[in-house]
Amino acid sequence: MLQQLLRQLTHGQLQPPEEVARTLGTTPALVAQMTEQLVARGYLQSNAAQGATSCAHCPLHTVCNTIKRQPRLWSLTAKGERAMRKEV
Amino acid sequence: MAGKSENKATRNATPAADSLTITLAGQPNVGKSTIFNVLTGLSQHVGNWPGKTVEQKVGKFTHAGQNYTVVDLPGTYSLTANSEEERIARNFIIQEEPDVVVVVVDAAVLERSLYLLAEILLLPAPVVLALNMIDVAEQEGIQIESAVLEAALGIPVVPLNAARGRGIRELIAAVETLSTGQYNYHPRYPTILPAHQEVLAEILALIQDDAPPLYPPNWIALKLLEGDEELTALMEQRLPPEKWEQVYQHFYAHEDAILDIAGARYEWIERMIRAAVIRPKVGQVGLTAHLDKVLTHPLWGTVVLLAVLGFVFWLTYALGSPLQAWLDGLLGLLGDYVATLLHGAPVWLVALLTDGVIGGAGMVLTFLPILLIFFAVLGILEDTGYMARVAFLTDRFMHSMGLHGKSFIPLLLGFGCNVPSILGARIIETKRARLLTILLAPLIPCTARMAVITVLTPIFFGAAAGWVAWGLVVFSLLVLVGLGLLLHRFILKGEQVAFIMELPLYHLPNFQTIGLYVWQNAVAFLKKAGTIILGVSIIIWIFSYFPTGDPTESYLALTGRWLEPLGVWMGLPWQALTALLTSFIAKENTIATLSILYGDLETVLPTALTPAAALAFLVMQMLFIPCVAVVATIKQETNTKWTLVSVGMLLFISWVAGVLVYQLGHLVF
Repeated sequence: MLQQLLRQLTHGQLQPPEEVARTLGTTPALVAQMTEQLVARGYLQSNAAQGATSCAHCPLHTVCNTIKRQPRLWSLTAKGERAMRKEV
Repeated sequence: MAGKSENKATRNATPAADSLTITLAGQPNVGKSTIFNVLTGLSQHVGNWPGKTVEQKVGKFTHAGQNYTVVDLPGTYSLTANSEEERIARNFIIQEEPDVVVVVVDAAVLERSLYLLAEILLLPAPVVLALNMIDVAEQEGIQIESAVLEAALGIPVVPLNAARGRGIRELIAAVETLSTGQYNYHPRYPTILPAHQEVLAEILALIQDDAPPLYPPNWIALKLLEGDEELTALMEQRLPPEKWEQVYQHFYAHEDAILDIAGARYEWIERMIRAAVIRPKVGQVGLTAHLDKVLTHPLWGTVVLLAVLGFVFWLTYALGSPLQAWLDGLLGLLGDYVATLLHGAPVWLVALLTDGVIGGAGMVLTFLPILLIFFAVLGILEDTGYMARVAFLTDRFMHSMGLHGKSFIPLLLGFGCNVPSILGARIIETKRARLLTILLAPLIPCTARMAVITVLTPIFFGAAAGWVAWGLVVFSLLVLVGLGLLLHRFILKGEQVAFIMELPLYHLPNFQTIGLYVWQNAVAFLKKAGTIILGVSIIIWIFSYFPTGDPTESYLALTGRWLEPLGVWMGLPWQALTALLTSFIAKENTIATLSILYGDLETVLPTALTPAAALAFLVMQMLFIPCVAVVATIKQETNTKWTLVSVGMLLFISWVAGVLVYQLGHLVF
């Protein structure tokens, strides 16, 4: 089932966990758990871990307030892509 | 379980020789401690696990003449030795050999707890499954057929509500039956692919003779194949080098076996859930799914998005413009008052304060009500969960235009500010794709750009402002997509990355959250008005006042007129071009500069620019080079050459778009 989840990320577009769950025939809660495990194992990365929202380097950061709540996203890591290539 | 009085009478801190040991295992917050407290009452000892800082709880009770020792294991999500808690939990079960392990799960989210059960079942201890919080599950309409689950798992299953003491007697009865061998215990385990079963057998054969005492060799073999670091280190020490080399070769050849092993556990969980859990068909999730059928639909979702965007601008102007006009009147009175107060002071000083400070930075401040309403509406959209759908729709749109992959996250950040957007491009591995994202990011309309548009459109277009602002945002995004398509065709080839994105449930907005969001944005705007915008206003005023006091003969006019040939193509006078240039320091300076150079924006500006020229000006404002902070960030993330390319490209695109819009607009208006 983990391989099926990873495969979902080798093609297609942005998908909410509910859609992934429907495709895998399971529940969003289980998809969330699998996603966490795949992040822990280095197959997926989350945008929160990528530190993409840092404004620290901006000269205007002291007069700016644009950091909004960002949606959480997950995508394949190089390890995840390698695993999927092997599968093919 | 005996009555309370009996329990109180028989509980004591001295372990009985014939005591049975019950271990409570489970994830954090599933009610393990509640069960522990109900079972042991005051007969408990709280300390630390030997040599660890993790809390250890041990208690005792007697039931029907049988003494029990209860050990509450630390809460864990799995047994993969990722944390101290997980190591303690699995080592205790293996080394201390409890008589029964009670795995406590939250019945309301059963599937999330069963992974731990799947792992514990592999250890050498009989297991009882305690379905705690069964009342919460029932309240949420989730029915769990415990008898079916028991048959499917092959282990005792006890539903309980520990907080109310319900099901505790049944739990003890199940422990008793299991520990005395009266239960037909035959757990059903997850199965893995035949290919991995073979390699598992080979690893088992290699390690069997060297497994540490009490550790089941087949369990060690499985954990080694999963890549368990603690057991890998342990077995590397215990195995002769030649055997370890062979084991290592197996790991190397099957480094992704974890996907099969853990995947099999999830399939096993899915089977159990399908067999024993009946979920509600309606409810909050159902409503969200129902709404998302429309709101995330490629066509209808886009229609709704465009309508929502139009509504945001309409509401902002309908409520904000009268307030702005009122504040503008107040500002005029303030200017008159200051001029009267400074009667007799040097003319330049009066002009600096009335035209430069009040007319520049002050004018920007009068637009605060419009921005507050704009932020409030955006805050409501975000808090209800709709903004996440916008991101979802945008991605689909970008995919269809060939713009996709990891560029999505940085570009999404650009709607707040282009600086984190460009910094966010660091997540993109390929240099070309990273560069493309950096080149496109300034075309995302940031909050400051949107603020300028929100302020200027009603001045130029009155009642039609909502439509114009709406069109400008759509146009800006279309230019981004068009440029992205062009660049993608020649630079970003072949990269396609998909994402899973969490879409929150829709809910009613929390007005405290929205208030905080509006407050933070208002404070940021005021800080900017009091620092950068005020500073630039004063500088602009100085250059527009000296040497003669007549703006048309000022240094600024001299510079502006030098640019005038470029503006002729768009019907823009030098004042408008100068305002665009000052937006390089901060976007809001456009308003302050126009105010200094034209005086009363509301009355003068619509006469100074024809509708076609005004539209061209707004288009240029949307597509013009970003502020200095963004350009500095582009330089930091790329180099001088690409920074110049970015600036040059945006100057060219904005100028061409401005000319086209003016020339076409000239035909229409």
